Amino acid sequence: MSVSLVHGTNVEEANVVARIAAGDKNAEREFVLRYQQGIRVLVRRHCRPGDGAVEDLAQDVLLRVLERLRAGAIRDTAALPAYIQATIVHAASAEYRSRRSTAPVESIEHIAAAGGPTDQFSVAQLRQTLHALLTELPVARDRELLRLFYLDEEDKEEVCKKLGIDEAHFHRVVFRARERFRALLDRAGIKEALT
Amino acid sequence: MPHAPFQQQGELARAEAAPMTLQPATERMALWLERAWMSRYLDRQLTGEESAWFEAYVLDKPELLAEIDADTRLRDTLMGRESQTFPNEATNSSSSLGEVSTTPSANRGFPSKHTSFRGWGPSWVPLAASLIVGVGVGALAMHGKLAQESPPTHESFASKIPGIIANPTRLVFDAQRGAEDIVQVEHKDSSSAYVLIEIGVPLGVEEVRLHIQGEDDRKLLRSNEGFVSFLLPRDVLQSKIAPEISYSLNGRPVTQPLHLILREKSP
Repeated sequence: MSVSLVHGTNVEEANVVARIAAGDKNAEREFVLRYQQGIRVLVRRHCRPGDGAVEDLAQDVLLRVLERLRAGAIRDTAALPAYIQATIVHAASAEYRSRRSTAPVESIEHIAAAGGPTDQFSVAQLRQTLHALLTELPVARDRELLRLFYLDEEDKEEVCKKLGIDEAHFHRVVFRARERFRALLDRAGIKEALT
Repeated sequence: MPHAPFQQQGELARAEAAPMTLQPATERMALWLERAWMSRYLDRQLTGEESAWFEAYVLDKPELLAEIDADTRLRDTLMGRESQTFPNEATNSSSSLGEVSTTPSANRGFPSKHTSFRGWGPSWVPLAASLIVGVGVGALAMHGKLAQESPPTHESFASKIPGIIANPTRLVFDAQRGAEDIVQVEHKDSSSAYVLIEIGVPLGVEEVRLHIQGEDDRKLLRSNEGFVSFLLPRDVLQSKIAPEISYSLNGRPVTQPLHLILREKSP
């Protein structure tokens, strides 16, 4: 799949960049409103599961980009999304590098378990929902499919080959799992990603 | 493709150093193309460069972000689940899984995530993972049940079915573009008793069903190439009532008639 590495932009976005560089606080708010959700989602994707540092890292990324915008360092408005994405990747990797050198694994686990978005679940509500639906028993091969893909990070082709299934089956299992999980999150009151 | 957070350190410098070349405003990608990108992204089939591009693309698109976030949380929940056994695992895993290796691969993306984070999270998280898998499998069971629906019983053709049907008339529709008319015809003058209908459908469609007056609805399954297909007795081409397909796309119901009219091509 070929890609153009420059995203389209528009006059409005160009204005926001210029206005931030000129010290316009309203423009900063517009920028934050536009990108904060995406930054949070992508930071979570680049972090380890349930890492309680996601929110802090997302704030760091927002602040870092804002500082560069204020300084007028980001001149190419079309490159702004790519800049933000690269900042996210950089922030996540820097975070884990620093933990490797300064903190024992135990303390990281403690951080992971201590907070994070999963705390926002209504546990009672979720348990109730789960209980009502637990009659649907899992099948070993499909559990294995998800395990290989998500935990072992096997390629789709590898997963299909190992389990002797076709890609249509793979897509059905994974797609359904994603969709049902999204519905589960919504039902449990998790609207974070949509706000 | 593993997560690739460590590959792109140079992007920061490159982005800052980019020349002042404002690009003209561009339209958002077509839905089908966006779906293709999303599918490949979630299936980890994009290169590191492509993934970075796509992540930048989705940054201000809430509906796409929601999909990515659901996938991330699914991954996270399954990882939380890894430290415990699935329901019934103890009794059926060895026989069901056979020789499949379940050892986490090392040195990919965040290699330590498979080991360092086992056991994190509240106790209901494993339960959630079980549910997710269960529901997915439930859907599969549904597929299986529906796939076993009885074959067509069109009486006027039941006695004419040969063992092999070579070169049947093939009609292609494109539901992705909302085309209700045939977009391609092959073997128009075939003597086959059946007509093969193929319909290109958007990625992510669910519950594709075929409705023909006087017949039970049939569930259609999307192929890897993005088509649903079925055979119809040839006399349906003479029918004045168009068959319909219906499906759900992003929660939105769509119904589309199929005009089975073999028009002569313009000279």
